[in-house]
Amino acid sequence: MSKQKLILLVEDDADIRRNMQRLLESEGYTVMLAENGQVALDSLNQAQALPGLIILDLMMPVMDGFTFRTLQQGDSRFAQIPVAIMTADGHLEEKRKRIGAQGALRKPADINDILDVVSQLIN
Amino acid sequence: MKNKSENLSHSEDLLRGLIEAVDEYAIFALDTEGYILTWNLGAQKLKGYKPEDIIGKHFSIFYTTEDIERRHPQYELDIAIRRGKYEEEGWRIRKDGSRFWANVTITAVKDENGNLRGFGKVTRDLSDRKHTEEALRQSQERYRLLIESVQDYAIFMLDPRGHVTTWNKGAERNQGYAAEEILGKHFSIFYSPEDVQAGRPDREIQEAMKYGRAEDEGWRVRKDGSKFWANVVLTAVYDAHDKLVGFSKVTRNLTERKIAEDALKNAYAQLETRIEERTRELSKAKDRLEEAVKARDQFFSMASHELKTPLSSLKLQTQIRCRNVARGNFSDFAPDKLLDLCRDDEKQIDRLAALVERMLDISRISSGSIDLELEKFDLCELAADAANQMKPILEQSGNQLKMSCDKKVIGMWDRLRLSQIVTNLLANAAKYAPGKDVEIRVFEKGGDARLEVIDNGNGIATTELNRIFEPFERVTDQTTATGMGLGLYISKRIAEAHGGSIRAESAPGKGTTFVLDLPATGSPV
Repeated sequence: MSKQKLILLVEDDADIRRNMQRLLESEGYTVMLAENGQVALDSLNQAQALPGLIILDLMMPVMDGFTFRTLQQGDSRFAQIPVAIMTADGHLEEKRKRIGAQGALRKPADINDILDVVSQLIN
Repeated sequence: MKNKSENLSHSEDLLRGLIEAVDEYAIFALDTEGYILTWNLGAQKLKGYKPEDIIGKHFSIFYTTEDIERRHPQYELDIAIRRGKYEEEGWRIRKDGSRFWANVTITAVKDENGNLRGFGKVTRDLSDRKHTEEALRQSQERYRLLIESVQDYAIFMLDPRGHVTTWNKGAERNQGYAAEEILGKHFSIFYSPEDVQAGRPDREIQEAMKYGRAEDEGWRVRKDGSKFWANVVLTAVYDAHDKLVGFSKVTRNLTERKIAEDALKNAYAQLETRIEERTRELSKAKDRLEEAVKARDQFFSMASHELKTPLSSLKLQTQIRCRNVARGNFSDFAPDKLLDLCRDDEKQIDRLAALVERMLDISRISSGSIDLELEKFDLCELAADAANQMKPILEQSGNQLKMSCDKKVIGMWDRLRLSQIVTNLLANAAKYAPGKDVEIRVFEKGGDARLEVIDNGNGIATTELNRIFEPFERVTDQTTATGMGLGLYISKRIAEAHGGSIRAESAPGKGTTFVLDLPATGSPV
C-alpha cells in the first residue's frame, strides 16, 4: 500500500467513522481512525507512514478540529498533509479558509462528493 | 296788530341785548348748516373769539379733532333736529387751543310750519374750581368705596416706612385682620419669621422705591397663623412734588392655584419617575427578549447540527448500499450481513427520533412547567440503572465508574426525569473528564435525598459555576463540546420542579462535584 493511499479520518461519531471507513476502504484507501484531535496527533506521531490526506471534523470533545489544525501546521513533519474539513456547521467555505484547509465537505455529505474531494486532494 | 308787532320787536331787541350781555354763558345762533350767526359776550369770554373772528365759521371749530373725526358736531345737530334739543358734557377747545369741560345745549329753531330755521346753542364752562373739587371729591369717594368693597384682592396703602394706612374688605377677608387691628402696624406682620429675618419685606420696599414697583410670590401669614400663597405687587406712590407718600399694595391669594400647580408638578414628577421605571423595565424586557431570540437561534443551530450526525450515517450507509447494488456487488447483502444493515439503519433512525423527542422536551421545559409523574422508588436503584444505560459511552471515553450507596434512599419522584438528570451528569463527565474515575454517591441528608456525581476532571472556575446552568452555556470553548448546551439547564429545571436544587462545586484542577438535592416527598413547588 503506497503512502499516498492512506487517509486519516478524525471524527467523534463512531457510526460516521464506521461508514466513512467502509466507503473509503471499498475504494481501495487505507483508513486511520481518530475520535478527536488529540488521538489524531498521537496517531501521526506514532505512524510508520504518514497519511496522504486528513479528513477532519471540527466540533469534537477533548481537542477540536481548529486546535488540531493549528498544531498540525506548526509541526513541519505534518504541515504538508492536505486537509478536508467535514462538518455540519454553516459557513462552510468561510471555515475552510479560516482553518486553511484544501477541501470542505458538508454533513450529511454525498458519497460522490466525498470521493471527488478525496481523489483530488490525495493525488 | 301794528302796536302788537311794535311791542314784539321791542321785546326782541331787549332779549337780544340781554343775551349779548350775558357773560357766564356762551349763547349764539347757528344757521341750518351749523355756521355761526351771532356771538355774545359770554361766548367771547369763554372761547376767546371776537365776533368778527368767528361769525360765519362752522361751529365744529370748538370741537376736538377726535370729535370732528367721528362727525360728532353733525351728530349733535341731527339729534337736535329730531328731538328738538341736544345736551351733553364734553371737552371743547378755546381759541388759544386750551381745553375746557363744557355743558352744551343745542336747540333746533323751527318756524310755525315746522321748517328748520337754525339752532340756538348755550355753552357753560364747568371747569370752574369749585365744580372740579366737587367732582374730584366725588371721584375719590367713588374710588375709595370701590377699593374698599373689592373682596377678592387685598388692596391697601403703606406709609413710606411700611406701616399700614388703609385696609379694604379683600384685605380683611384674606389676611383676617379688621381695619382697626391692623392700621398702623408694620406690614412685615404678614411675613413668616424666617422671611422677616431674611429681610424680605425690606427688600420689597427697597425694590419698589428703586424701580417704582416690586412683585413677589410667596407664602404669607394670616392673623390666625395659617399660611396662604400670595402674589404681591407693591407700587411706590408719589405726590405732585415727587415726594414719596407711601406704597400701594395689592395682594392676591393664589393658594388654590399654587396647590394645583404643586400637585401638577408633583404628578408630573411622579409621571417622569414612572416613565423612567417603565423605560428601564422595557429595556430589561427587550434585553431578555433579545437573549431569548439569541437562545432560540442557538438552539436551532445546535439542534440542526445534532440532527445532521445520525443523518450523515444514514445517508452514507444508504448511498453505499445503492452503489453496491448498482455495481452488482452483493457481498454486503449476504443473509448474515443483512440483519446488520437493518440494525445500522434502525440505530440512526432511533438516534434521530430520540433527538427530535429531546428537542420537543426542551421546548416544553423552557416554555412552561414540567408535569411530574410521581412514584415511590429507591434513588440508588435509579442511579444504578442510569449508570448501566450510560455504560457504553463511559467505556468509550475511558471512564471508570464507581457507585457508592450504602442503603436505600426512598422518595416520591418522577423516575424518567431523574434518570434524565443522572444520564446527563454522566454524559458530561464522559465529555469533560474522559479517562478519569467517576463516582456516583447517593445518601440521605437531613431526611432529604442527595445524589452526587464526582468527575475528577479539570474542574470549572468558580466564576463559571452558576453560568453553566443557564441555557446554551458550556464550560469550555464551544467547538470542543458537542450537544446542545441545555443538559444542565434542563437538569436544574427538573430539580426545581421537584422542589429540589442542583449545584456544582469545583475548582480548576480539582474535578467537579454536581450535587442534586431532592426532598424525600418530591412534592412539586
